[in-house]
Formats: sequence, C-alpha cells, structure tokens
Amino acid sequence: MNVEWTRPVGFWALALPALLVLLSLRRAKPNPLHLGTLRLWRDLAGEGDGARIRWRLPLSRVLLVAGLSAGALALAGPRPGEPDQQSTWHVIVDTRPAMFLEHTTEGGLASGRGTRLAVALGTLDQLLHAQATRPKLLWSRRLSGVTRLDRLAADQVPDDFLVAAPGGYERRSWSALDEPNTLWLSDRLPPGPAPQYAGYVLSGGGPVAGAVASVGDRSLVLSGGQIVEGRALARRAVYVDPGVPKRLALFARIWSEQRGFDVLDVDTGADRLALRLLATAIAEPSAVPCTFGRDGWQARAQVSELRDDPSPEARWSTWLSGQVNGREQRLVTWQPGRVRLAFREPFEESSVDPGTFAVSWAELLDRALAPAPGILTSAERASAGDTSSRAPQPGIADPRAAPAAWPLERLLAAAAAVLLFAAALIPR
Amino acid sequence: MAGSSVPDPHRTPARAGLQGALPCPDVQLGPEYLKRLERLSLRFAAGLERREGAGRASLLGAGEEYVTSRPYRPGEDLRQLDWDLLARLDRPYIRVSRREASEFWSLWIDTSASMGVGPPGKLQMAAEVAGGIAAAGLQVGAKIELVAGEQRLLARKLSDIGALLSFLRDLRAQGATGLGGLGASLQAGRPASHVGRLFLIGDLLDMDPAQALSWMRPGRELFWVQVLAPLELLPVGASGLGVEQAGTRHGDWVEWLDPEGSERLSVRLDGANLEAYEMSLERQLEAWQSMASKHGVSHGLFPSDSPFESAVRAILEP
Repeated sequence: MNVEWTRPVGFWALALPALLVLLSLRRAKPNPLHLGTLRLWRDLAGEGDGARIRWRLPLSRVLLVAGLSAGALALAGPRPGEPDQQSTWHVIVDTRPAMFLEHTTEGGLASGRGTRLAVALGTLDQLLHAQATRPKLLWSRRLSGVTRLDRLAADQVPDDFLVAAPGGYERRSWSALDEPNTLWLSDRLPPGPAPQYAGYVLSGGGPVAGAVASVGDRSLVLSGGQIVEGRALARRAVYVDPGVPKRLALFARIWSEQRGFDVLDVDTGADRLALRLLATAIAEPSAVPCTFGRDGWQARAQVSELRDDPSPEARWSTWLSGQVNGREQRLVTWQPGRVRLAFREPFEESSVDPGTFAVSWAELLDRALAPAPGILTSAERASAGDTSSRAPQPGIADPRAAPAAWPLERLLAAAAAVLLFAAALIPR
Repeated sequence: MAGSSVPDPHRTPARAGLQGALPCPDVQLGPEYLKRLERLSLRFAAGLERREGAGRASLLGAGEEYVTSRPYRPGEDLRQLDWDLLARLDRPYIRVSRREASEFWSLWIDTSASMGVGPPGKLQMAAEVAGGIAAAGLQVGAKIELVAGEQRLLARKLSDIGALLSFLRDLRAQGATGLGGLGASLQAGRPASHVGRLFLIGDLLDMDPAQALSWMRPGRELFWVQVLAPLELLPVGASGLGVEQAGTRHGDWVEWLDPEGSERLSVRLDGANLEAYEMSLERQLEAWQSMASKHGVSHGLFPSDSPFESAVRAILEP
C-alpha cells in the first residue's frame, strides 16, 4: 500500500515512545541484591522457567509505547497515495476521420510519417520512453459523438481502434476526461480550454487537400488553401421507410430530388445511402394521439415511445418533442445519416403556412445528411499545427480530499486512545 | 575479666562475599544500644527478685546451690519445702536454689557472609541479641562465653560487659560458604560439656534442625535464635519492607547474589514466584519449629528489623 504523510514533522513525536522504551529497558535491568536464602529461590527456579529471567517490558508499558507510537503516526498525517498513480495511463484515442488523413508538412506535402494517427502513436512511444518506468496503458477511443471508455489494457493500441469513426462531431466531451493519469491522443486539442490534469499527444500536421463538401453528385475540394469544385461523386440515395407518413415521404422525395439524391424504398447498405428516414413501429395499445409541431407548423398523429439503440454509436439528438400523457416525449430524433420518427399514419398536418413545414423539415434533413465518403470539413483538413506532447499529471491534485476517502489518520488516533486507555487500566 | 580470645584488630578487611560489598557487614553498638541494654539488664534483675522460687523460672533453675527461702504459696511443689525453717518457725517456706550447671552460658554467633544481608543487617541484630542475653546472664550470675568463628570471649561478672561489647563490635560478616558459619564453628570449636545453656544465634541457613539438635546434652538447654532479614522473610510485603526498601517493586526483576559464593539468580517478583518462595520458606521454618517443640528447644525467629529486647525476652522468658 502506498502511504503518503501530509505532516512529516509529526514523526518527531516518535521520539517520545522511543525514549520511553530506552528508559524502560534501563529500568528493567535487574537490581542486584544479596540474599541469604538464595538456595530457596534456586530450588524454585528448577521447578519451571517462571523464576528465570526473561528480558521483557511489562504489558502496561508495551501498551503505552504502542499507544504513543500510534498517536505519533497519526500526527504525521498518513493518507493513501494514489494507487499505481505513476504506473497506469488511460489513453483516449481520437478516431475522427481526420486522424486517418496523411500527415503533411505545412506546405501540404506528405511528411512520409504515415497518417496523423500513426504520428500521434509514434509520439506516444517517445513519451513513454521518456518516463522513468514505462506505465501500463489502458485504451479508450472516441467514437461517433461519444467517447467510449473501453479501458482495454494493452501495450499497443488495439487493432479495433484503427478504424475511422463517423465524422461530424467535435470532442467537447473530452473536457470531462481532464483527469490525472489520462492522456489525450489526437491531431490537435479539442475546442475549449486546454486540459489541466490530462496529458496529450498531438500529431499536428499541415493542411490536407481533398473534398470538404458535396452537393448531390458535385464536390467541393480544398486545394492550395482555396475551395474549388472537384470531380463528380457517385450519386447517393435516400432511403424512406414505408411507414413514414405519406406527406412526409412526399416531401422527402422532393427534397432528395432537389439535393441530387435517388430515393429508395429498400435499405441497400451504408456506403451509398446519404440518409435513412425511419418510422418506428407502433404498437396499437401504446399509441397515443398527440398534437405537436415546431417552426410554425403543427400536426396531429398517433405517437409511441422512441427507444434508444443500445449501441453507444447511436447517440440520437432530439429535433422534436411533445407532451404525451403529461410528460415530455421525443417524437423526432436524428444522428448523421438517420432520422427517426415516433409516428406513422394517420398524420394530419394543419399548418397555416405550408412553407413553414417544408423549410423546417428541409433543415432537419440537411443537418442529418451523412457526409459523403472522403469528405471532411475544411476545418479538419486545415493545418493541425505542430506535433506536441505532455505527460499527464500524476496522483491526487488536492491532498485535502484524501483523508476523508481513507481515514487512516483517524484509525491511528482511535487506536492510540484505546491503547493508552488499556495501559492505564492494567495494574503494575 | 575478658575472655581468653580477643579479636585481632589487624585482621584482614571483611570479605563481602564474592560478589561485591555486602550491604551490612559490620556491627554498630552505640550509646543508645548501651542505654537499652542497661534497661533490659535491670529488668531481668528485678524479675529475678520477683520470681525466685517461683517454680520453673527460666533464668533460675532447680539446681543444688541454695539462694534463699520464701513463704510457701498454696499449690507449690512440697518437695521444695525448707524443712529446717518449717521445724524452727513452724511456718512453711520454699527453698530457692540455683543449678550449678546453668551458670555457664555459651553463645555462638554466626559471622558468615550471609549475616551481612540486610538492611537492617542480620549480624547487627545477632550481636544486639547476644549482648542482651549475655547481660541477662551476667545479671543472674552466670558465666558467659561468646564464640564467633575462631574468636572467643569469656565474661564472668557484670564488669566484663565492656569487653563483651567490644567483642561484639568487632564482629564482621565475611567468608565464603561454610567459613564463619555456625555449623562449621560448632564442629571446629565444640561447646564444652559443662555448658548449661547453649545459644545458637544466626540465620541457621548453613545447617538443618537435626544438626543443630545434635548439640543437645543431658542437663543442657538449647536455644535457637534465628535471625532473617526482611528481604528474606518477605521479598515484597504489605508492610512495605523487603525489596521495596531496596528500590524494587512487585513485578520487577531482581538479581539475587549469593553472599557466600558466586551464584547469581535473576527472578521476577511476580505473584506466582513470591507465593512459591514464601511457601518454601515457611516449610523450612516449620521444620525448625517442629524440631524445637519436639525436643524442648527454645526457638525464636526474628526479623533483623525487630527490637532486640523483644527477642531476648522471648528467648529467656518463654
């Protein structure tokens, strides 16, 4: 057990029991006395070992010394050290698509060091070698929208982590991972204040040319610091679930045509689909009529509860909610590439201005579009700066927090009180 | 007149056993002791006058030497009637006589190193008791012989009391096992056959009761005056004496030193050890007492811190 002492000056109090032991041993030295009846004592000594000398302290003195020692240790303020605080690092790996871009110089030329992720992992190795003892590593990764704390123990980054996660999210949740013994591995620091306790390994890297946006089968490319129209992309499609209310399905078709997408009524797979518009199956007994709306439009439909996908990759954002049986309930949620509805037919839209309905839903579908393969935002393709690293802060930052968590000091003080009380009770 | 043997003033310094200085090897008989001795002597003289002819008085035996006659009291032994006075005065008188053999008292004092144990020293107490007995004896007209190791003194009359006290002052506890002890002294010196009263004064630790009894003779009274230090009687006692006086308390360790040898024994003065020791000592003392009672020996056990007068009275006035 790793124990730290907050008041080492308290160790001086150990001099008291030490002095007491010395005085007691000196006191215990037998007092030589002449005796004419020595023969009687000798005969007794032969009957057992009770009369022979044994160099020992009285029990009361032993208890007194133990009590004073415990008190002195309590004065020194023991508290548990952070267990394995220097020996285990929690590495949070950023798997945004940008991490899989080739690492370049500031001039946009390939640095020859592989991807940004490879450069970051290499920098991590250097940081580990710089430590007096190589720490053990626990690995977690950033997934789409969430940072899953896998805490996989491994010397090297797990192979599963070398797959790009969907893009489109910042890493604001990393601020919650600003902890001692935690290391962020990315290309640049996430938005927000710099970490106080967590360390980091940043690959950096210059700008990387490539598509930054797509509109239908057209793409916009970052090249030489400017955005230009790039080559035509493979035409993508939008899948509309047959359960989607007809009015919404009709609108989705119109929107898709406007955006240059095909419309499919069969889910053909992830690569080609830019968006899936899904309707939740409604169990009749649980369906409840509800009136809802936003952005100026209003509708009425039978709604049921939207259940979250247990997968951590499926973090849904709420776009529309309404009061159902007196409580707030989600009616429309989305994530990149997916929109999910809590209602089907019958769906009665009763907007005064029909345009508000179209504008409102068009904004949702635009927002939920999955980026086309190979398309990263211009911010991610932009320069990430220089390669840098910093070891995480070790241990507990606030020593005042430790005694409450582990009351060794109080235990020692209580033991001292009990021992001194027992010493006082034992007759000489 | 002083005795035949005078202590050598140039003798070697006392050997305090083999393990350092004994705590109380010497005898101090100061003016205070002389006053107390005088008072004790006068007491015996007065008692003598009151008790002459009173049957079997301890100091006056039923011997042949006529001392005086006194009026008969009912119940007294008619064999002691003074028939001459009865015939002449027609009134009963009792003859008071002193036995010739009782006139020679021999006091043997143990001066072995173990007598230097104390405080108060056992030899000091033995010397004071011997002085008291000797003074009482001189008071009643007995001849007194003092024997201590190889030293002897013979006192015949009260005026010899000065030499007697000087002899006692020069006593010194010394010697290894056996030397100066009563057993060895008796074997070497052997009390004279005409000794009527033989006093053995010491801790009697170097002999057993049977050995001491072997000096009993027909017509001789034997007295065992056993002196032990408080330390030996009660190592830790309720009286506050004993080891506590020496700065050691119950539960402490002490190292006993043999005054007459090289043995050392470390013991703890806890309850079990003390109880076992006291039982062992009690068995030994009971053996002396039992033997004394069985054979008519006067036996007294006295702590060295008790007043010598009470010891003398207990011995001579049983």
